[in-house]
Amino acid sequence: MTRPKADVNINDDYDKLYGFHMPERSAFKSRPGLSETLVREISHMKKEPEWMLKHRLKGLELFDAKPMPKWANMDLLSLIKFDDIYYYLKPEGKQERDWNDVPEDIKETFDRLGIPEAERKFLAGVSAQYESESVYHSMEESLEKQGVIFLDMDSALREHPEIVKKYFATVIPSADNKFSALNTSVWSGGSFIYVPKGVKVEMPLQAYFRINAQNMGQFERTLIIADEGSEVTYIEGCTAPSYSSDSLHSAVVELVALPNSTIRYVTIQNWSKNVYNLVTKRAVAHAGATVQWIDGNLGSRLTMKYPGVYMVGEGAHGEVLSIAFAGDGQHQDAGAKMVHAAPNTTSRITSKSISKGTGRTTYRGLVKTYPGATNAKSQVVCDALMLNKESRSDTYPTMEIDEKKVEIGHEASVSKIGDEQLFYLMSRGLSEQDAMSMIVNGFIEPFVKEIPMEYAVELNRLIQLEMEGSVG
Amino acid sequence: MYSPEVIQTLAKESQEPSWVTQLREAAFTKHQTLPWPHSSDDIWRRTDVALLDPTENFSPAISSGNNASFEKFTQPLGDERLFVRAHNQWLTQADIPAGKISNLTELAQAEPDLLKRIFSGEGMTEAEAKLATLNEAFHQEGVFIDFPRDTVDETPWRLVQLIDEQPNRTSFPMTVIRVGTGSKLTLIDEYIGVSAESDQPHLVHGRIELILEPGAQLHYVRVQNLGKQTREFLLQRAEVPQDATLTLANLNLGASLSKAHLGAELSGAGASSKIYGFVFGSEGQHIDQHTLQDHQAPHTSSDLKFKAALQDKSRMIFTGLIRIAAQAQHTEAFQENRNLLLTDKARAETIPMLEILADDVQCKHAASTGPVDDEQVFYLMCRGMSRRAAERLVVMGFIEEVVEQVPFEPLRDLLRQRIEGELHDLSTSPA
Repeated sequence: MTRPKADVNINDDYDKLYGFHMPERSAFKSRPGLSETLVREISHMKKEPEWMLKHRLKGLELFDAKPMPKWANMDLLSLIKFDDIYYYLKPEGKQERDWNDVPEDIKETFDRLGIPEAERKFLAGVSAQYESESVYHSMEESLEKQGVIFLDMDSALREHPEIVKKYFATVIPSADNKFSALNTSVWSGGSFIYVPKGVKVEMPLQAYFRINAQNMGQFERTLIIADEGSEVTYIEGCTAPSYSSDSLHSAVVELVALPNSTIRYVTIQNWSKNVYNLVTKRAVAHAGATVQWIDGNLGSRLTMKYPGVYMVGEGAHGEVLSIAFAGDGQHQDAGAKMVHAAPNTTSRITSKSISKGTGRTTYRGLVKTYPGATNAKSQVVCDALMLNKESRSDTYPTMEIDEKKVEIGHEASVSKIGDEQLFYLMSRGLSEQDAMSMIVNGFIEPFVKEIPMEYAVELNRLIQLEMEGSVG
Repeated sequence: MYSPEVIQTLAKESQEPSWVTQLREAAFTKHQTLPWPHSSDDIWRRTDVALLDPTENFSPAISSGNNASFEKFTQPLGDERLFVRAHNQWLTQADIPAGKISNLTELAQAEPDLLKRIFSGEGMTEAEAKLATLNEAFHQEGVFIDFPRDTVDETPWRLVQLIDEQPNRTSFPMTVIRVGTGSKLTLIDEYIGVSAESDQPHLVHGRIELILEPGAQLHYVRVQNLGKQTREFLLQRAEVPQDATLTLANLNLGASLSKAHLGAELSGAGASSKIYGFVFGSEGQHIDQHTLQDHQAPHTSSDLKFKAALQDKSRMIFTGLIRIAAQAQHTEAFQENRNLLLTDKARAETIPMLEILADDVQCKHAASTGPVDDEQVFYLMCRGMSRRAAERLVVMGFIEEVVEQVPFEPLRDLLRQRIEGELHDLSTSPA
């Protein structure tokens, strides 16, 4: 059978929609490169307590001491020029609660990205971060009255130091890895959420992260605490201009799900192809709590991200549902970590990836059960679709089982779109292009149906399935 | 303890050509320049490589001259062609209608290029080369089995290599098997430890090279039956070119620590390999197995099935890699790892890995770890079996899938008896 040329286009209109940039107007811009002076300067400007400065300095020490991860894609990682990066860039203006007060350039940026519109439609709260600082922040009054705290991390440290100090770096110690250490030393911005006991936040809270400057490093720090029996959904999106030189995004995200609470964390990562996205995300789930990571990776040159759930209380549940697209020159090295440290804990990992052109997708995962985690159950399913001869797909799952009474399963498959599937659909009257489009849509369906409607529409638009009908 | 002088002694004993001795010396030099594998390498993270290092605390094995204790192994189990070897000497050599069995010195004389290729280190990782060069430098004559073009033997061959497990000494067995175009061989290769009843360790550094020519068929079964004080490193590689078929089974029963690398390179269209592995772990055994299904040519297929039943405090590590090169289109590769944990202290770690650079492939892997399935036990108990008998039957059924790959009934029976004999009753699980 001769195949017509059919193509799946991802982010073809990125430059037009997200790749633009505004003139750079900063109130403060650090010199490129990382130093103890800079770390002290950031802490001083933010008027931080002494204990936070100590955290930062320790993080810097660990970052210098720790080697690069050898198992990673060193061909790409070694291209990062740490000395050329601007680690802290404070945009003009202060954080506003009224959209009209946000500086014009920044407002235009987020208007073009559709943020205020989304807020009006379906969000309970919004935070917008531009370079290193949060520039806009708002939340529904009713939530404020119920005691929900939704702030940028810097304000949270000023207004609620006792809660921040109690949980900061408890889920991800700065020594966890080289990039969590880096984040600890220069973090700025990010979200802080506290949901009091029994409060269910019905509508999602959202943060949008935008890098505008060249050679910028964005290091946001997010901490979400769901108190007993509460529920919250948090959505983050991110984009950057398409520059020829590289930027670095290295976030640390810590979630604490106290007994019987539920946290859903949704990420649509769509950085431009010059961004290195090296992120550490981890949750602790106490008894009866549920943590769900829903993770879409479309952009960046190299993403390394393995969201984890440490199930430390009986009956906790962890879930990771992820989808990755790697186009030409991109490497999506994503995965999940599930640690069962209590009885009757359950987890599920579903990973879907598509590689196109010279794109490479990697699934890297860990499922660990500690002794005493009786009746733990974990199921891992990875499916990879390869669209071209030059594409590459790797799967590196690790399962460490130290308890007998568990059920741990893993399955992975890698394939191209099957002739049989195409033939089946075409024999029912579909054109080959439509059939291929339907198969790809079906492949990502489990992911799309888990994200809010507005995001699903956006995702489908990002993944345009344009098929060219010429017979090759 | 291990020095160029040891090589000179080995050279004198084997009366090998001087260029072989030079290969040994080059291998030892290379060993000294390479770094030891590091725990940051996923394939070495869970096994302490220092336990496999003979250079500090071990000496070369010596011939004890006590061959009497080996006599009991020289009787055939059935109608197989039996070859028994200890201390570089044949104790039994069956008559063979075709093919040839000799040692590496004869291989060197007859096929110098083949031996040079084996020693070239091609296709090894640096970590593998660090260990493999030890065997290349200090191997003791070894075994060479040659089935030239169109040699077919339907009767299984059984090679028994008796390892005299002298404390604080190292054995370096090397086995090279070549099967020519249109030839067919079934070979069972047993490593049996003859224990010295010491609490000091013995070390075995083994090397197995399986070389198939286009269209050859080889069914190779290795049974590792070393003593409980012995540690082993094994590098087993196979070359499977166009239209050749390899069936490989590795049954791991003994040794306190076993680190085995088992691999097959599918280098020509129509090549296919099936790899089976079975581990029965008891007491404090540490079994670390790495497998490689290396697809370098289009239209190749491979299948792998590894099963482990673990009791006491035994620990199994499985890292299996399927690698599909960009040119290896139209390839099918499958991999399955199943671990049965029979006691609370048993541990299993499994890392099935895929590296796929071609798009027109079918590739799947699956892994699972868990206890004996209560539903299966319940089903058997409904039919009148006691819980104990039902549980034992489920375990024996689990291993049968690999045991049945041994192409020789009397040995299958022996293996089943051995495992059933060592299998403890499962501690009370809730009804």
